[in-house]
Amino acid sequence: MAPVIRSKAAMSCENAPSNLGASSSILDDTTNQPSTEHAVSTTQPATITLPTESQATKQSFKPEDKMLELFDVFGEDDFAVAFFFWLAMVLLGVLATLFFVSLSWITAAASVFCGFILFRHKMLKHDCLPSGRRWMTISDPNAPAPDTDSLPAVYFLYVLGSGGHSAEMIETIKQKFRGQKNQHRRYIITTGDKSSQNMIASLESTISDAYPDERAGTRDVFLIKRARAVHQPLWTAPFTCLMSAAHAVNALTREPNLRPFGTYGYQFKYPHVIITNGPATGLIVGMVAHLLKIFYLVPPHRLKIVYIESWAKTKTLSLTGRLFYWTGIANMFCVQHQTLARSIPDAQFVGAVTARVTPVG
Amino acid sequence: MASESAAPAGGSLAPPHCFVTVGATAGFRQLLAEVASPAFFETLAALGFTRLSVQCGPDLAWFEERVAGLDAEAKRGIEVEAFDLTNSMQAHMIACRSERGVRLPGCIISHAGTGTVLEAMRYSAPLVVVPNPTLMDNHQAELAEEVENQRWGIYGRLGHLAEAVRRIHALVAKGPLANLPPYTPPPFPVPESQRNKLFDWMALTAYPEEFRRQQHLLELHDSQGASSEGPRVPSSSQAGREEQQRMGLD
Repeated sequence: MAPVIRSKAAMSCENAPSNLGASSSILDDTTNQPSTEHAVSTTQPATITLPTESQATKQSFKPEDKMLELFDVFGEDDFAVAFFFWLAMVLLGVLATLFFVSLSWITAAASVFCGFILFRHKMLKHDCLPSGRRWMTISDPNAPAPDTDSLPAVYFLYVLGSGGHSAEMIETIKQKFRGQKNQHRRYIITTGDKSSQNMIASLESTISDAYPDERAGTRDVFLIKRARAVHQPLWTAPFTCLMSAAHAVNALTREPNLRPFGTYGYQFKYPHVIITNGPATGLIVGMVAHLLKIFYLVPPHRLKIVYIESWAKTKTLSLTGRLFYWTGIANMFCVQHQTLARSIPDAQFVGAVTARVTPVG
Repeated sequence: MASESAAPAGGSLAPPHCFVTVGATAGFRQLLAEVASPAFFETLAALGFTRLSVQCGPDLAWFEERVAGLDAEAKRGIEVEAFDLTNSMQAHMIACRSERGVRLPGCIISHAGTGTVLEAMRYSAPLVVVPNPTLMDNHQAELAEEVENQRWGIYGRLGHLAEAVRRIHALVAKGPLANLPPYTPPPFPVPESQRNKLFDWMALTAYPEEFRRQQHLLELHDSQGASSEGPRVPSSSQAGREEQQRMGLD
């Protein structure tokens, strides 16, 4: 897995300031490796030669330069292809093994494998020392705030879902945002989600208005396939989930074009914190991140997962919330309502991070 | 205040505006059907509404057909504007918000989707939330109940929409929402004292040494806060900060 990632990193480190530059870099890539597919090819007609153009038509809602600039061109997602290739090979290998190796050996190997995964899972759980409870209860304005300015890199990854989830996430980002030079943020949105694109564009223009200098940091947007459409039956979900998972690996391990490997090394290679608030895509990204940690594919202390239960859930956890809770893959599990916080023992009551509200009267 | 808003289209104030939204993600025909009924128009007219704008999502053609089916008398002179999606949600919502000397409070009728509800509450516009029962687990009902319990708005039940509009109208006329100052967007960036710092701590855990150092500073601060009895004296916190700076140097 690792060499695949490495080769991608070397591929298109070029910044994409203008649309033209971006499309030319894509052309170079396609001439170098003509056989691979494009990153967002799952939703695009295969005949289109210039992916940037098709992206522009996709956001026909408003041809905003802002948004085009945000859609950094990441070249091809050859990882997704390689992923399915390897998956097929592994399946073939397993089938072959079933014929040639005795059942006892297979059982032994499988149990060692499962044991390893469980062991790592427990280990990672113990790893997440901070409780967060203390940080929330600090009401003293003189208390030292976390100083992240001096760190080499601060890289947040936000997973946006659809509609309400995105609106909440944007508000959360606004409530936490602070201008600093060393930050990068990446938004993961699902294909065809135009309202989220609009929201990101307006958030980014707010940020660049407030911080016209370097303190605005760098940002990019990653498109991945939607895990479950609103009325999609649950039984077809696993297949679409697998597709999103393959794209999620790319989103988690691809360093930003604006923070090239040559200048920043591994500092911006992997996100530090993944924040998600309930869309199924967030769960997929969380799972993939956890698996990457289990198999030592990312350095330790990266990909910390923060789950914020949707503000809409006041008494019970959502399906995604329950899955995050049961699997325990979230390093921090936040809920926004007191009633819910009382019924969930380990949850972090953070108050309404997404809303500032006044009653009608 | 109360008499002012009770008078339909009184004086130079702009008459109340009603905005119906079903959100961007899924359609909500049951709500639209109820909006396009003569009984609903009658209630709006009785309360002094003159304009109705409807964001229909995927069911725009269907809704327009329904409205075209109503005769002029049933519409009671209410101007209807329908569209599928809009980029100017804010303008439509602010049109429903009261403003001192400019506008009477109108009403937003919304599906109980988080994004829409949050946005409507940001402008403190009168709000009726109607959960969409066809969505997964009827998950919107929970939010609608919370909205009603916390008095952020009214839980509008399908089949009783006109009644809900009457209720919110009466409620708002008594409360502070009937006479608001002009809308000012919240400041960005958020002032440091109100900022949510939780996720910055989380980012810090990616750098264990630095995290431990800053955590130690926090503990130091806590213990000093505990040792100084009674109300905090500024000098002690000053000393604490000096201590922290010294800690930071080594």
